[in-house]
Amino acid sequence: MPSSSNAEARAGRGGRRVLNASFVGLLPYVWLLVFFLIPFLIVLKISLSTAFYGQPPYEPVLDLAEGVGATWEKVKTLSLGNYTFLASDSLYVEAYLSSLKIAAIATVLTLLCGFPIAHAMARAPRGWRPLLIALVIMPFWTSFLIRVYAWVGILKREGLLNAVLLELGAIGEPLTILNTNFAVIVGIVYAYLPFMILPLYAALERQDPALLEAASDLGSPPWLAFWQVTVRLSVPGIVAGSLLVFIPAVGEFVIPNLLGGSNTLMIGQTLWNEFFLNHDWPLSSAVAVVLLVILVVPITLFQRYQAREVE
Amino acid sequence: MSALASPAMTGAPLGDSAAEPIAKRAAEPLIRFDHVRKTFGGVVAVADLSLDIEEGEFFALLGPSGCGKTTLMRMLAGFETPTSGDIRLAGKSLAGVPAHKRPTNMMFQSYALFPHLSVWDNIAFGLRREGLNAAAIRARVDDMLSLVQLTAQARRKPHQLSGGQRQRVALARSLAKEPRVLLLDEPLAALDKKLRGETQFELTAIQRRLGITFVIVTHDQDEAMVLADRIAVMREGGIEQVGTPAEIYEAPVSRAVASFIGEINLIEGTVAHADARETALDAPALGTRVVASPAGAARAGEAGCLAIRPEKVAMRRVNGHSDGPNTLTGTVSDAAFMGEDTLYRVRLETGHLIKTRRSNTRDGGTIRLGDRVVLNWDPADAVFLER
Repeated sequence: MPSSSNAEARAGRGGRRVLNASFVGLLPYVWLLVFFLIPFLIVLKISLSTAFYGQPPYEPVLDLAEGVGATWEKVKTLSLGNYTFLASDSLYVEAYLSSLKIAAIATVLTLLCGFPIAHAMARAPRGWRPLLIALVIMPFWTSFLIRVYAWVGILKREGLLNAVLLELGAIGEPLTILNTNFAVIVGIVYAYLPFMILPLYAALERQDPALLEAASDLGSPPWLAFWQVTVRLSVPGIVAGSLLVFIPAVGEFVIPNLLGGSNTLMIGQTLWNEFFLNHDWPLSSAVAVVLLVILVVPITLFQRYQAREVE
Repeated sequence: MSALASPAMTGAPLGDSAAEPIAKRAAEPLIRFDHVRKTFGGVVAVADLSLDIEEGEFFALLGPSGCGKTTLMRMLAGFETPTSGDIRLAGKSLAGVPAHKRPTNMMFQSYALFPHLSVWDNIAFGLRREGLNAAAIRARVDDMLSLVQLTAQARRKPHQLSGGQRQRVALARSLAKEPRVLLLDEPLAALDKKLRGETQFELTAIQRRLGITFVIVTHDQDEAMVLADRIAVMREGGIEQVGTPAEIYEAPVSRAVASFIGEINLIEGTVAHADARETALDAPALGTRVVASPAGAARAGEAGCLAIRPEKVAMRRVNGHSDGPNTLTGTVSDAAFMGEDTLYRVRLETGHLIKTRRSNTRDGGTIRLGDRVVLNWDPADAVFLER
């Protein structure tokens, strides 16, 4: 303990405090550099390489020990060939489009399920709210894989859902739900719901209930007041929640793999196949880079929106 | 059965219905609370309350927190429904009329300005629901902006305004639709003292100019006194007293009203005698008999209380023998300098403290702590309270 109190004493004199503050400010950038930018550059480099039967399964392998000149010769052999291949083969284009479509539908459905839940939580008695939040987070205590796998038991032909519907007489014969895109969407909605509820709850909880009364006092019927005030003021929460669901859902691998069928085309699976079955590291790296670029677009839009909102 | 009876039964009301609405309109005030009661899960917020508010009045509902004043106002606005009883506006029952269809507008305590809308759009919000054309809305909003002197801030968002400016936006927004009644929920509570003083005069000026009925809810007695034409003092879900500020101050009907409004001396005792001219009270705390002269309905032997305002108690230094009704001697125990006057507390021989107020003019002579003084008051200035 004496050392820490010494540090405090010195910090009190000035100098060090400034240093500490700038280090704390740098920390996120260091983190991004080490865990995002450097890995990304490695993936980008591999995506420009050519597949090769060997270890590692691509070439060229850059090694500065060979000297700058030799390395530069190797750099010159890098090409955009993998990207032109991705653009020319409709399989990849379709996989991207299908992923975006499934993720978009699932995001809208997650929003429609999440909004009433978050709204009810925000209007619940203050004492209940921590418990309700804990209940929303509770599923994370169980393995993601197991929770998604459990849906197989619910959705399969002889599964729980079909049994209940048959028993109720709602259907004459079992529905085929498992191994369809619909099952994938159900899985995404279920798995990502907490990511939608929490930002929505944060946005709804801090709204002054008097705002809703003010709208109706000024002549808006309840449904319109809800739209003008409650929904309008939770737009930042809606955008944040939708991005938190949409972005990982586009690249989702586990859910389409367990619940999807042979017709389900998602880019996460395509990437997995290229990497583990074809051992084509460069091509799968290109798939990953393109996916990242596609996803950067909504993130940028979101940040522009947020900046405008603050102003 | 009822089908058979109805033609005969409608005959009678039809006969005098032609005359009745006119008579009713003349007799009925703008707002009438008729035996209104409101409970929240067994807790009584408003208990069987009846109250009339006249057209064009600046009316204050005054009381401590939890007295039911806010609930009363929220029932008028349509945010709460009375458990029983009826609220009528211009002779028509408001029962079943939702908030968005009532000709009342409210200025909220938190102001409740829409944070995503500019000052201009906040004020235009209610007008857009009235189906006015764009030019009419623009003219009306600009009028309101100049009324509250915020024309230059029209494009700002609420968070870019000072507290006083926000308060004026809230006022302009609630006045924009020209309501029959404007409800103000603690409108000045969030302002600092100096700004509050200025805003009070602005509010009364605006109310006189527009002639709209203002109903204000406040726990601040000074605010109610300065602003209102009439005040209803509320306590525990009921009304203690309704009257002009002067009536409430000079002639409180109960200990609760007397002690809630301003400083007052309450002297407990037993009625010695009472007649049409005066009520005399034996006060053990003073060791003497005190007299109030406004006629009361008290009877000898009853317990009661004499109330006298500090500024009505004259104080001078003892010189020679003092006698007469309501004359007490004591020593100055402490003094609170208030600026324009000083509030003294004088300890009597019995130990009881009497408050007296002296203006800080030059001719008063100096009185110091510990001085022996004589106090007395005119019986006409004292009030006898049974409650």
